Amino acid sequence: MSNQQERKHILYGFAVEPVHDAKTLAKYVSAFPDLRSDLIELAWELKVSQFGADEVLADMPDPNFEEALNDLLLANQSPDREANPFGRFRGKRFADLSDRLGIPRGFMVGIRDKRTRLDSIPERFLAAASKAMEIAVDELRAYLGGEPKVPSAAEFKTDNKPTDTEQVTFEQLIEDTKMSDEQRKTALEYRDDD
Amino acid sequence: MRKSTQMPRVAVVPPLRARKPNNGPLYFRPPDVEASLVELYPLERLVVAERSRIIKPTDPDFVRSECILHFVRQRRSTRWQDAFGLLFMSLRQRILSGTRVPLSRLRGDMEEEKIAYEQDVSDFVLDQFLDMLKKDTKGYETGLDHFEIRFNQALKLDRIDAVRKVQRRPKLRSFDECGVDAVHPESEAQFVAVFQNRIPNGEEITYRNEIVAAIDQLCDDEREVIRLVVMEYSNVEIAKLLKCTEKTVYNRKKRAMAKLEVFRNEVSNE
Repeated sequence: MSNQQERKHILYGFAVEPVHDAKTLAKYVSAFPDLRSDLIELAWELKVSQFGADEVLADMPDPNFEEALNDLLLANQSPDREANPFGRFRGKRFADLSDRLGIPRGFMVGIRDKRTRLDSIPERFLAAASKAMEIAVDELRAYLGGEPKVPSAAEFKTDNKPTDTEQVTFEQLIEDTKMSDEQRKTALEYRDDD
Repeated sequence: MRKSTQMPRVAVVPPLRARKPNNGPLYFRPPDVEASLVELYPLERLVVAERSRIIKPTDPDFVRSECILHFVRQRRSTRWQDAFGLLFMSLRQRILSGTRVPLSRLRGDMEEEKIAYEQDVSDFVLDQFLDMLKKDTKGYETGLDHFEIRFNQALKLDRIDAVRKVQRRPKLRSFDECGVDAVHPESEAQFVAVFQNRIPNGEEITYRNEIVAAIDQLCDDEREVIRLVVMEYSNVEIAKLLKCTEKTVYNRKKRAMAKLEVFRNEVSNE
């Protein structure tokens, strides 16, 4: 279990305790002193959110429901499919990820959709992207080394049958993507030193 | 003719696999959750899915969130397909309900910013949950077991993590500087009393949420102490938890109360 997973496991464990009195909190803080602040914050959140818990639940807007359902159905159908680390990055989160890496969204789509040859993607970029996505470099590499993404029926806007798209190199992707001078400079800086 | 003495079949609900921290014993679902699952198992999944749309907890056919999650995870055969979409929709609604907080709990002047912020927090939590469900299809995601024990309580951790990650935040006003002598001696007791009322009315809930929002704005060490004060920890207990002296607790509390006094004055002037 990674440190992050371990942290969550401990904090979930505290969250689902039947009571969160001083004795329970002290027990967890004593056992896991590094998580003291997290445990106190969680105890607080549990306390202040208990009011109104029995109220009628309202129907809330859920605009991403269809996309999430399709995503989960695909995962259910193809259990051996390599996990898509970009699955967590949709909409604004994808835009934020691109911004953090200093590159335009179009460029990131070229990476995400495996239109770029893995052997041409610099290690420096892989390291920066995996750090920004909070995953291991190997996980990202494993995903990008898989089959390129074929557009789904929902994405396809013409009457033509979808075809495989030839992959390009990282440098070609920089050439082909519209971006500002600053973004181009950032993208070029990801290249490994020869 | 001898009557059949066959016992009615009792559903066997698969046990949880997660262990308590530090390689502790296996988790068990609380008896009420387990009993709900036993009651639901013999039903057609479509019936369970339709019942999962009921939003009134006092309705006798209301399905607990822990159970909805269990059935979403249990999807294995194609006969579940019709029900799956409905169950998943209900699950997401329960996540949204369990994650959102009243806007009065958020500090900030612009309602639009608060609404956008809450949307971002909810989206983050939904995405994280979807990831766990997808991992669960490939193996067994023990993290989800916590949600089969106490769904809403487990969600609180996800909300905390989302709040830390979300970039777009409502603009906050900073507390005005004020002297620590501005604190009324009874302020601390009054703040604690606000949270002690077990059956608060609407106005009291709003006021309570506003205090929570104000406390959220304090700096880390003050916020930590005040939260523990409101949770009715004594100075001695706080010092022991935070591994500091009682004097440090007292000083942080005094600074925090001075800032919260400013908030109290603002509210009474509105």
